Amino acid sequence: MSGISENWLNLVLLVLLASGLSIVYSSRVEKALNWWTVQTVAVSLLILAQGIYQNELEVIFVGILLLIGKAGVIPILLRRVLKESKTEWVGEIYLKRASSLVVAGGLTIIAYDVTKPLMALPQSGFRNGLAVAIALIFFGLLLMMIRKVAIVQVLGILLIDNGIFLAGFFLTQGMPLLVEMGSMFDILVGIVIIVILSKQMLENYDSLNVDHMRSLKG
Amino acid sequence: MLNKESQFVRQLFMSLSFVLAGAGLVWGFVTIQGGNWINTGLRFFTSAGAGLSFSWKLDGLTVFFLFILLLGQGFSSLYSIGYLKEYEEKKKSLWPFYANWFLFLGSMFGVLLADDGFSFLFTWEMMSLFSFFLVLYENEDRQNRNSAYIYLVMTHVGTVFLTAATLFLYTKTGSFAFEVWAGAAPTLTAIQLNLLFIAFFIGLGTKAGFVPFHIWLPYAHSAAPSPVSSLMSGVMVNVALYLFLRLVWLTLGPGPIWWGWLFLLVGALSAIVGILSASVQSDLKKLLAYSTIENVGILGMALGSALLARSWNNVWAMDLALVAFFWHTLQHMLFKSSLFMGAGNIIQATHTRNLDRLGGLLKRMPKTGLGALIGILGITALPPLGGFWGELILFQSLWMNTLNLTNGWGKVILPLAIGVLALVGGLAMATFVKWFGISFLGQARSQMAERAKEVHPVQYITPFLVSSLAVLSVLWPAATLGLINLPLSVLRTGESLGIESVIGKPLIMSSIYLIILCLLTVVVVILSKRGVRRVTATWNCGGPLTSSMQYTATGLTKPIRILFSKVLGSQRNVERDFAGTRYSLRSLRYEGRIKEVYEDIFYRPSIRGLLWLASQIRKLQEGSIHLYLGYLLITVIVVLIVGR
Repeated sequence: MSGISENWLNLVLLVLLASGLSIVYSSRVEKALNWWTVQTVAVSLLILAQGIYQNELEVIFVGILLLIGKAGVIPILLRRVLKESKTEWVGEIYLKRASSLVVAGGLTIIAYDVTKPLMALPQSGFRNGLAVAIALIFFGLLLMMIRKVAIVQVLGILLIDNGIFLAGFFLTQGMPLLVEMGSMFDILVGIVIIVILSKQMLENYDSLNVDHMRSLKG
Repeated sequence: MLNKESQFVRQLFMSLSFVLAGAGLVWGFVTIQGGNWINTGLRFFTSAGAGLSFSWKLDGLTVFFLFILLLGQGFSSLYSIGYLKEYEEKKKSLWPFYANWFLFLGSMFGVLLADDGFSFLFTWEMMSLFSFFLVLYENEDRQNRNSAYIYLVMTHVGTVFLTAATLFLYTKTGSFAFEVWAGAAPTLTAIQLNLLFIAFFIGLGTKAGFVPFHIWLPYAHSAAPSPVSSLMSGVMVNVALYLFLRLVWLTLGPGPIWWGWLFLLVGALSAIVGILSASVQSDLKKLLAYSTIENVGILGMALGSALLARSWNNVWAMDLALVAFFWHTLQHMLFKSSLFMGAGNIIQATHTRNLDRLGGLLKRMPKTGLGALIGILGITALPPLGGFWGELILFQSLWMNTLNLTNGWGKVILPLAIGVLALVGGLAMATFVKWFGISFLGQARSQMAERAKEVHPVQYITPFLVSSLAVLSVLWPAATLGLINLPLSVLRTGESLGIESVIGKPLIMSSIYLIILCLLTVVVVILSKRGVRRVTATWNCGGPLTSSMQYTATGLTKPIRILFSKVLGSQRNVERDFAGTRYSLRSLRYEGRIKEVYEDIFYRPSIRGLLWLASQIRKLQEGSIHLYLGYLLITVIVVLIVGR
């Protein structure tokens, strides 16, 4: 099967994994957001390259859409909220930076372990890719669990989204355009809603700390 | 003024209930005469072979308890005509009462007639539920709500066991019919049979009020309106005992010998605990409710003796025990009903249940007092009335069982059980002397008691009717024994001899004793009238005669409380305030407390355990988003690991 070469693929996967770990390791929201942007750009480049190598217009189109929609619009929206709320730190609970990095490493190993049965994929690089995709899903969940600020939780969702997108890509060699667009639009709308809700939270609590939501418990 | 319409509705409904009961009795007497269905059973409204439909059956055992139920229904309905007037005056809607009253009665009929596990469970739940609503009828009082709640919880715990046993038998046999169960019982292993028995014992024993499942009974029976109390104490408790016969005796069949011992020991325990707790109560109705536990204990001992005799093939002792059981069931229902009615009269006249605020009611409510006195003669098993004969036959049955044994522990325990019965009888005397003496004799201890007036005529006529029926049952023992013969012919296997062969002449003689005693009484009264009588004021040491000179309800049974302080867990706390010397007191405060031993030993720890478990589980759900997200992460990982 033709495609981008093994080496390049591994390089991109390294960027994805490293950026995922960096998001977990970041202590400032802005840095985490930057790392996520880097990751999304890498994802869209991967898609673009695959599209160009395979001469599939649809895949190229998806890659461009990703680059503009996800890597472009979402960070701008989130940055605006960040500025308004003057949030700087990610608000660590349960785990500090270092230990969360260790846990994330453990989750990566688990991800490799659980994808073992799926190792029949044609291209050996894709096996790594699937494991990294699952690892990104784990990172996203972990991030949502161990951080207090709402924006970081949004980043967690976005990280999960990247992971799911990658897993779908590696398993199917490119989903139909409609599905891709649907999922992207979905996440975009989701982010817009979250941004609106974050503003609401800011008005009510003057902070994006989700611990305040406990007071809503019945 | 009273609303004419609601008055009409009350009279209509309660008379309807009364007339229906009477019609049922008449129908029963007519049908008993013909047909041999007493032994084999009469099915009706039943689609044969259908899997999950209601099926009903009528046989001798059912007829006896139907008789009890109809009597209970008739008397308490008649009593309600007067009793419910109070609620009308308070402008409290009686519609919930009527609805639940009829549904409660109907569900009891259902339980008695049910011929399969499904209809049994269904009607049983109905019975629990509607009696719960009736207990809750006076729901303005917080205490009543608590009582009803305890009742609901306990009865559901019991139903859990019954449901488990029923479903187990269903999966084993593929059928709900009692008959199929009885056929399959011998094929079950010993462990299965014993587990089933324990489940039935706990489930039914909860409703019957065996110690230690009795804790709800004093609360619920005393919180309910008096007609309902008399129905619950007189009839519903017996419905549970009926099911022991139906499900354990007839369905699970002859079991291991320890079943009989369990009944005997639990019965003895219930009798002792019941009467001891009753003796130290100062709540008019709670005392009666505890006495119900005592009588259920006596009935349990009779059942135990019958089961033991059955295991030892001692036909004579078994028949004696069963006769004692049915006789006492009938008498207890009659006397307890009339006593609860008496209690209801007192409560309506004085608006208090506290014995320490009563006194001197005999002068103000003589007719209620007379009815209560006859009820007390019966319930304390004094010779001329029915209560005595039942316990006498039970003594004989226990003694027969003892004689039959060659040696072993049984030969020690059985006579001890007789001793327990005797002790219970004595304590019952003390208890009811207190109940009657404190409330009816002496001087009024409060303004309410002083202003008490005799109640609606129906309310004192009904206890008279009940008492006269009780007298009649002794005066004409052949009829009573004929009635008892009906269930006996179902429960006995093999040859079904007439009842005369069992107890022979002695019980027939009971009427003669009664007549002689009545004559003696008349003679004594006449003779005492002829003596010289001098009427003067009570001697009072020269001071003014006050009500505080009398015994208090607590004081009267203080010896019992001290004697059995280990069992009752009684504590006392006296605070003295001396004025200068040790010989003059400024004030004295006495505080006595009875520990609820069973609640402390069994129930509170288990409730604490449950609450602890619940609070541990609750930690899982704290409302923290992070925790929920963590569950999500763990779930995803577990699913991926398991699913690979």
